[in-house]
Amino acid sequence: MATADSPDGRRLTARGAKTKSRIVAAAAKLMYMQGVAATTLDDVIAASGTSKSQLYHHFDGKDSLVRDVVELVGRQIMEREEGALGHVSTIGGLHRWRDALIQNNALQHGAYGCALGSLANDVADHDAVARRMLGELFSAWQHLLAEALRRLQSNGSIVSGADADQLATGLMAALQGGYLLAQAARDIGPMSAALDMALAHIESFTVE
Amino acid sequence: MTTYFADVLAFEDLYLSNVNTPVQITLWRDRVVGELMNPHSPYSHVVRLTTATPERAHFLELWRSLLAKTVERLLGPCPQVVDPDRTAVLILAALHGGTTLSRVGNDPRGPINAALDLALAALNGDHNASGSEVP
Repeated sequence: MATADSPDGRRLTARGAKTKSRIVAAAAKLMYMQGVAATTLDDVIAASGTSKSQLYHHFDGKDSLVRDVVELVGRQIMEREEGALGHVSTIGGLHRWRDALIQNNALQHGAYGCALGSLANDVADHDAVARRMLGELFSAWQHLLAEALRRLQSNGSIVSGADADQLATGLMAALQGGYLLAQAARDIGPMSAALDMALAHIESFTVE
Repeated sequence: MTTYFADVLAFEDLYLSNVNTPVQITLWRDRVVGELMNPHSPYSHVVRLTTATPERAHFLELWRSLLAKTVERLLGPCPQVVDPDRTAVLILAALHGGTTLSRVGNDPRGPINAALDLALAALNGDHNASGSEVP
């Protein structure tokens, strides 16, 4: 049965789609752990248990594979964040969002950073298509944060005069920067401190 | 890369040592954002790094220390509700994370400025813990 498309526009069989998914998943894992530049197509072939001909059947080269990785990682992160932020309407809810991110990163002692942020830093300067995809994903993620803040404004938790979009950008930057500092220090501490300080600033807009 | 680390620390030591007022932290901020907009600046090079090396960890610790001392000086001798060390971490996170967002967005300065607005708010007296504006 035909399902997704191959690079030349031909429809893939279910088996072909499964192979392609396996390649993308393996590539995503390798690129998360060792970076895009350090991940070769041979690495991906070995990790996915596929062959060179199978890989080139689905991808023109590394750039097209990286774009599929961006799409996969972006989808995973947005699903997670929609679940975590979609109903946040209290300061406590923002703290629970923060706790989940910290606990998840603590499992690997901050070693690998944010999967989406890492891709952004690795490919933004080299691939305009991937850069645009990443820009849209980060905009969508920030929109989730801004909507959560607007819900806090609607229910009177924080003052209506606060600029939700600006605060969301500041909070996202603190998060991404926290991930990078934790990665450099191999310690979750800086990420925890950055997020806590950013949330404390948002809490300063609390209505008394 | 050692040269870039040394250059940034030298610039930061020089400029931050002269920051004693909120106006001067704003000037420091404008200068650093300008450096980050220049892809050839040592600031751009060091902030875009993602590898975890002892050298980079040491560099970030020294930069954090310079920022923490500046924050402490700006807050003065009064009982501090703002933690200088944690504020320094937030400033560093703002520079790094803001740069990541700038690289994929359409507005190169916007995310870095939004991040620094948040990080420096307590020093500029934008809001205190109760939510009211600090005079």
